[in-house]
Amino acid sequence: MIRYDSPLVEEFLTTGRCESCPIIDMHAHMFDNAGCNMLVDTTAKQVAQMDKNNVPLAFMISHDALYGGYSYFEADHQAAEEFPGRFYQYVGVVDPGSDPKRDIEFLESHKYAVGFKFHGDTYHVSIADESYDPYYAYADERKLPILFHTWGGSRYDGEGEAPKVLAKWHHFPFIAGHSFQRIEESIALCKAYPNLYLELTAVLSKRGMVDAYVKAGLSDRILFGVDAPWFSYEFGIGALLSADISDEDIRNILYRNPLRIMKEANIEIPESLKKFANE
Amino acid sequence: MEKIQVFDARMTYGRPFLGAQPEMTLAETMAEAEAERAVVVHRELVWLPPCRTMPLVKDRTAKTEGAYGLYLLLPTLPGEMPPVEELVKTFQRDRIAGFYLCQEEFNVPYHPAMFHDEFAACEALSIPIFYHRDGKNSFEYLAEIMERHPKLKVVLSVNEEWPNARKIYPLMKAYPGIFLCLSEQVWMGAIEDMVEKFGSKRLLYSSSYPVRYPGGTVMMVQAANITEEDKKNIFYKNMETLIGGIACDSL
Repeated sequence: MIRYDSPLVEEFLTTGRCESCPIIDMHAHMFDNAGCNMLVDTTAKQVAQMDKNNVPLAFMISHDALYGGYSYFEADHQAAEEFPGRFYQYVGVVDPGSDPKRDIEFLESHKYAVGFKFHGDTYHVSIADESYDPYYAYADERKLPILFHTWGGSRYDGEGEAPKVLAKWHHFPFIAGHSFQRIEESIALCKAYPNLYLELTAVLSKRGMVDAYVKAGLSDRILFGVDAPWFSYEFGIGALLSADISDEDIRNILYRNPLRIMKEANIEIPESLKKFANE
Repeated sequence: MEKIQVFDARMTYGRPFLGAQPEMTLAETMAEAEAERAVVVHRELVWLPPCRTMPLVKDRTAKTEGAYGLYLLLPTLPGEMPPVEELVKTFQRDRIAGFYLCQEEFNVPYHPAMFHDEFAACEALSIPIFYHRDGKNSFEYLAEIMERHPKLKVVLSVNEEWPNARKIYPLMKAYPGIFLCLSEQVWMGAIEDMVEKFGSKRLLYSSSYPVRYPGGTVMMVQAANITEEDKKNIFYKNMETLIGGIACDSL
């Protein structure tokens, strides 16, 4: 139930944002998409939505880059350059066509490129494929975040494939986008692998999932995202406000956990977030 | 902070097919859903015949302050349920908000001709049809119905949350009788865009409780860049108007 007696809840509901609770979006996209219309289809419109809800920072990969690969990476970085400190870029590992040497060189030469994104279900290649080891080795050495699309039962990026990666690589934050859409399996994997994080895109549509994760003691392993600009930050925030979790859990999810990941990876923390970095 | 008052256009309660009876009462469930008033889709509607669900809905609704029920709509000529013109006389007394359309389990073909008399009566009496877009309850079927019955009032809920403007906006524009439940319309910018294009009077707060968190839609509407009057319309006034418009004969 919505905890109307909470000052944090009150501020979010009355203003759409909370000054003491910024939001770091760990799963964002950008620009238009053939499959459905995006009302927010430019970088500027997306930043306006971020400003509305006090989202100082989003980690993103555009639809073009996710599906089209390398030729779109530069445009993503230009979007990040256009709004300094507002976006970090995931470099998409797009198969066929992935080239570890080329992709890692892109990351190293582009200031706002800080991690990788895998989408096995789109490319029909398991995330455990050995051809991806150079990406994992690179990220593992530097503790760079890797966002994976994960979905329950998938033979490419489901709860059966993730352990094959997690068993080999213990240091990079494995961000399970959509949290495998499974409760028990996600909890078990988190308890087995300390570098696994559960991300909430498409999880906040299902009442009870985030409650279960927090109840299992995973408040410090949950990250926020809504597939922006597909879905509204307000919808995601509101779902958290009516989950059976505390204000401290909400703060962990919305900014403390991602800031910790950024610090460990030596990813520069924007000025607006520095005062929250030691909470 | 004072609780935001809502009239939930769609929540569910009851025993699913092959499932167990709910542990909570309807009143407890509405409290969990944060709804002072709610239109409740009783799960039994989709797997028991109306002769059994109508008394069940009537009984649960009578016992629960703020609850409004729905009756399943079947073709009335076979005699399984009274004609719409007779049933509507009980709606105000029994707090029935309209009819629920779900044909698959009842082997009624998906063609508007099956309900010609019933839809015509609902048009004349301003009785809302609650249409949940899922399975064979498609957007196309809804458009066929509305083409034949353009004055019909339909409360549309949708079972997918992908940005749906390409599907929903043409229907909203073509058929002024369609009212949209917002619990799955969680796209970025949706509320402001829909209010700008269609006004706020055909948008309905809904929770889809217990499947979804009620706070999602509460926050979306409350934080939207729309007027306070628009928010009240969406949170409860539109549903009050919709139900209040049913031409029930006074008893």
